[in-house]
Amino acid sequence: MLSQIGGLFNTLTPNDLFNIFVILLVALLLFRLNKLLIPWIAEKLAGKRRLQVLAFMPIIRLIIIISTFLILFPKIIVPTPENLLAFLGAMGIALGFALKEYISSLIAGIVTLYEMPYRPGDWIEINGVYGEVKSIGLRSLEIITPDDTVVRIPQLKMLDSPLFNSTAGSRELLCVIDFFLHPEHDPNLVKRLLYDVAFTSAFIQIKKPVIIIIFEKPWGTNYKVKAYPLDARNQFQFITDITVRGKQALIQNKIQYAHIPMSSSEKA
Amino acid sequence: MTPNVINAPNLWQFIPNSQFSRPSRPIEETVRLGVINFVQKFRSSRLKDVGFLNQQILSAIPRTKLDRVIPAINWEEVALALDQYFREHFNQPQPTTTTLILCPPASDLSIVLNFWGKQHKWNLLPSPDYNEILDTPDSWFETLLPVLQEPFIIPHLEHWFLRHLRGLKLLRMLLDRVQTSPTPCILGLDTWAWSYLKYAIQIDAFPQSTIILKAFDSNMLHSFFTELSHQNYKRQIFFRETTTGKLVLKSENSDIQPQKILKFDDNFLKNLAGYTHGNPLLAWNIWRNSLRTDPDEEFLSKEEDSDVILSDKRRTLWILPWEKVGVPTVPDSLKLIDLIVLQTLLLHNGVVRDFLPNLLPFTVEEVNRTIAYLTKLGFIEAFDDRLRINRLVYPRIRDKLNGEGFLTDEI
Repeated sequence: MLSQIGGLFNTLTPNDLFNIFVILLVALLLFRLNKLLIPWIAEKLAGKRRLQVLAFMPIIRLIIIISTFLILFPKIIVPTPENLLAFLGAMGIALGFALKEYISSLIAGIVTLYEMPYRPGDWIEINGVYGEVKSIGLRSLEIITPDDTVVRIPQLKMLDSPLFNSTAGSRELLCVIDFFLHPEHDPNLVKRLLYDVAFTSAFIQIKKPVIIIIFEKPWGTNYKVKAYPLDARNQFQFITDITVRGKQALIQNKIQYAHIPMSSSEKA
Repeated sequence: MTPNVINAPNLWQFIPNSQFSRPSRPIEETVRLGVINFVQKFRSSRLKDVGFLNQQILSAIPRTKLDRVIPAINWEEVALALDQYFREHFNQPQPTTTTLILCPPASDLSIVLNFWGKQHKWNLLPSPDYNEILDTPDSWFETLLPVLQEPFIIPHLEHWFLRHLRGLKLLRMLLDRVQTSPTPCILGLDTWAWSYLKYAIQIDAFPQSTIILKAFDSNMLHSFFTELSHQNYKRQIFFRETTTGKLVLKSENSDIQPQKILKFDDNFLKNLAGYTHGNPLLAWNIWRNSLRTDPDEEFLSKEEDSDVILSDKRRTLWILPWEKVGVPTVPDSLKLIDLIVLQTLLLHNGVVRDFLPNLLPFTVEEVNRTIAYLTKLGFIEAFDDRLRINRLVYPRIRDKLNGEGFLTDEI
């Protein structure tokens, strides 16, 4: 049996080992270069072009992996059909037991590359985590949250959890800013004020529509201002700007905010 | 011998906004700019990216001579063109009472409106100050009502609003009044303000005629500069490009000996027309900025103009090649606050420096730092009591803002 296993592999000379080492090193360097260079180039570009360049990152990574595998495989394994079958069979058993989750995530990553439910630069929410997709690996993806926290999510989660993508490859992201007001006020005045607040924001993407939706609640009135910032990355500045100036406008016009009743346990 | 005055077609023409089309840049210039912009994206350092590229190959022209060679624009001619338009307009069966004249940045068309208004004895309304726009629009508008009963002109309608939560009310009141009144009026409005107000208050929905000055292509610029150079000189002045030696403005054969017949190249004028989007005043500024004299051959004086023996070299001025004209590129390192400040200045056609922080979602210190930085780059200049965009750089800034997704004007 040992001789059969021995027959599977090439006899590796020191020169072969050195070549394998060099190939792996080059692959690693290319990986690193891809991770550094593509985001650096993307940051130099504006808007849509930035997102288009970032989308290449996972594709380049996959190309590097496949190329490295194709170069190394005939160097290590004697490339006969029997050996190939034996190798793949052994791999399958080992991976099936030991690395089931890892391989599942890997395959999910490949599926993701094909389906592209999200791209680098997208703002997504999954399992309660909201942030910008920084990089897409084969096994996991990296999200930066608004608190500058890096979160790694296995690709497998993408297949069995609902995914909310706010941008889907574009730079536009709809922001919703809530105002909760005391029920006794003139709604037309409030609508006009909030429209002006939105249209006079320095961060607004003015070519996109501004919509104000009003919901009547038992405790008061909920106004939702729906508008788009210049870029998805400006969303928090935009929301802050609308909130601050909206508050100023409402106070100047003596419009009160809602007082939401709390239970005694909440008060405590 | 007096050079034949080129019978230029009527250069100045006001046309409906829908018919406006701007001259395009030559493809070579678009490619060259694209390469420069691409390379600049990978250079470091905020200030090193930018610098005027003026090559002092030749001497700058003394101001007095420059004013003689390229005198100021004759606004009376432009006012005549406006007259022509209104004569045709008011002869129509049911002309609109409100005419909105769109004024591109650095076009100074308000001078024409002031001139035309005085000629025809229409009321020229002053712009409100910032407090009147924000805090007392109702009472201030009340004081205007008697004046609005007579024909009136507002040269700078963009100074009647602010991008501020209380800054749109006064303009709405004025437009509501104008819409319902039979009194004719002319409103001059900056093209950036027009683009903004279309979304903010749907200004294009108000019944009006919207007109704009027809863009100057390279042929019109040729006629324009030739006419200007003939205003103070009887004999021809030669304008030649420094690297090729070719004429930038065509020569009059009667003045040139056969062996000296020089070729004409319109590349500079095509680039100038494309860069300035057909804005003649902007082109005029850049044209003056590009002129040089040979220090070994003093340019002719006023008294020497009639001297027929004077060599051609004494009546030759040199034009820097387009790529050396010295308009800086906009660095990639501009931050969001820099771009917002630039856009704000353009939307309002200049803002008083001390008031600018009121229009921005940044602290006073941040705004002051940004103003200092943009002034150092040469993008902002002080004019009267306002800060405004440097005219020479304006097209580049516009391109930058457009590329970053900011609202810009439509021309």
